[in-house]
Amino acid sequence: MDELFRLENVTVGYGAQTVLEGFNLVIYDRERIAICGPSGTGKSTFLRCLNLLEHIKHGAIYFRKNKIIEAHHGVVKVLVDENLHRSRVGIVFQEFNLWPNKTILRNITEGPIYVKGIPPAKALERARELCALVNVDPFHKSDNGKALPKYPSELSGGQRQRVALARALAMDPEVLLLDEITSALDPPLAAEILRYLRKINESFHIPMMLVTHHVEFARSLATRLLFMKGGKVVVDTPPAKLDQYYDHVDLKEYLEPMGEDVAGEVRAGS
Amino acid sequence: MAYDWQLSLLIEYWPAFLHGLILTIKLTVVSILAGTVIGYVLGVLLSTKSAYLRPVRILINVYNALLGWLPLLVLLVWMYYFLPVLFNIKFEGITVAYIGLSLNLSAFIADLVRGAIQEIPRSYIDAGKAIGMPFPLILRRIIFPEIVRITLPSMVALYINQFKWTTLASVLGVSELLHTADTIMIQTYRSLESYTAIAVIYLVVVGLGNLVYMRMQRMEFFKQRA
Repeated sequence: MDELFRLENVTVGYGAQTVLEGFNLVIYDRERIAICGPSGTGKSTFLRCLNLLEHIKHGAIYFRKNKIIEAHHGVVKVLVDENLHRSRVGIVFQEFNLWPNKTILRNITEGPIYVKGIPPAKALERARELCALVNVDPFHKSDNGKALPKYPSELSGGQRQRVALARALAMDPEVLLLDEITSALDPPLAAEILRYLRKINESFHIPMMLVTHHVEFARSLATRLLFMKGGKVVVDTPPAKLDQYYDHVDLKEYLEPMGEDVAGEVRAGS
Repeated sequence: MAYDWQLSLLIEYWPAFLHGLILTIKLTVVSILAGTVIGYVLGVLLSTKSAYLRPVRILINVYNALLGWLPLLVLLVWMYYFLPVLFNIKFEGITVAYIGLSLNLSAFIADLVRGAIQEIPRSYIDAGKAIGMPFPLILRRIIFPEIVRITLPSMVALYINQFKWTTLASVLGVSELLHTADTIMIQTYRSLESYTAIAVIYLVVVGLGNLVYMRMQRMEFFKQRA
């Protein structure tokens, strides 16, 4: 399998505080990685570094074997066009971050039209397809054929997060980074998001890296599970073999179960 | 007290009033355009965080304070005598009026724009960055429409006021409406007629402006969605 990301001796921190230190990791194409672990261990920071929303302090990161950033004790050198890189590496946030004063369709087409230069009509058509994929109707129902567009405020939390997914997918990214995208949602809605991620995986075969607290989430979607603690990866395993680590580290504590009913629903869907 | 109104004066002098109104509108429109552009630039500069631009921000703050503290009438009269000394050329009263009215408005607009930018949540910008928008594009597509949405109603209120501020140009000999009324009064000794005429004109124009303002506030575009 081809290499997607490589992190070499990466250190990240804010001020005097270090979040990641001497971090090494290789991520391959077609992997779906779940990253679990207690809060404040640098999981989100790790994702944000991969699409250069944050810069490392030391070490180097490679994307498809090209060095994208290198740093030596705080002296940072970005070696690619940051905006181009970000358009290739999609990220979805915990709080959705939709633009509330733009319609659903505008939220999705903004990137394709203005960053990638795709003709508006084509971008709009694609946005409608993506809306259908994540099952969100971007228009109000109407009888007279004059459909009013919907705004993010008119959607539920789960629907908003699905629109955020559609917005990221509209850029045709080569990898999807998902930063605790279910943490702001109730367990049933989180389970729903998981179903859509599975659907996205079937349609796009796109590598994903997701930070999550939900063990079922990790188990049913990921091909590889990383457990991080204190800025280091302490467990790196296929999810099927997770059980043998249960006594190894205080894993149970952090992999919070989704609740019986939801977990059952997720399994039934898999 | 009985007063013998001589409304025939209006028939005789209407071209002069019209000329005054046109000049007043010209002063208003030009100073609105210039003041808005300058104000926007200053407001964006004030919102920057870069350490390099700190001296610029301090300078703009001083500029804003001076314009805010000085009565506009004092500013105009002072500029009328100071600008020729500064640039060593003659300045017409009308030029000084254009400059003074524009600068005065720009200070208000700069504050409005600065406030609006502070209101824009960080997440709007993050979302743009995340899909690879370069900063100028984020400015144009995300930040600018938000600034317009937040500030335009207040700006229109400022614009309506600007129409009234133009009366101050009369002290510089600019023959806008008030100065026109002064002149007619001196020629005819009919002060009440000429001042009533311009009072009515001001009421009508400002009244129409306020109607537009109220209509605008109800427009869908200015609705802030959570």
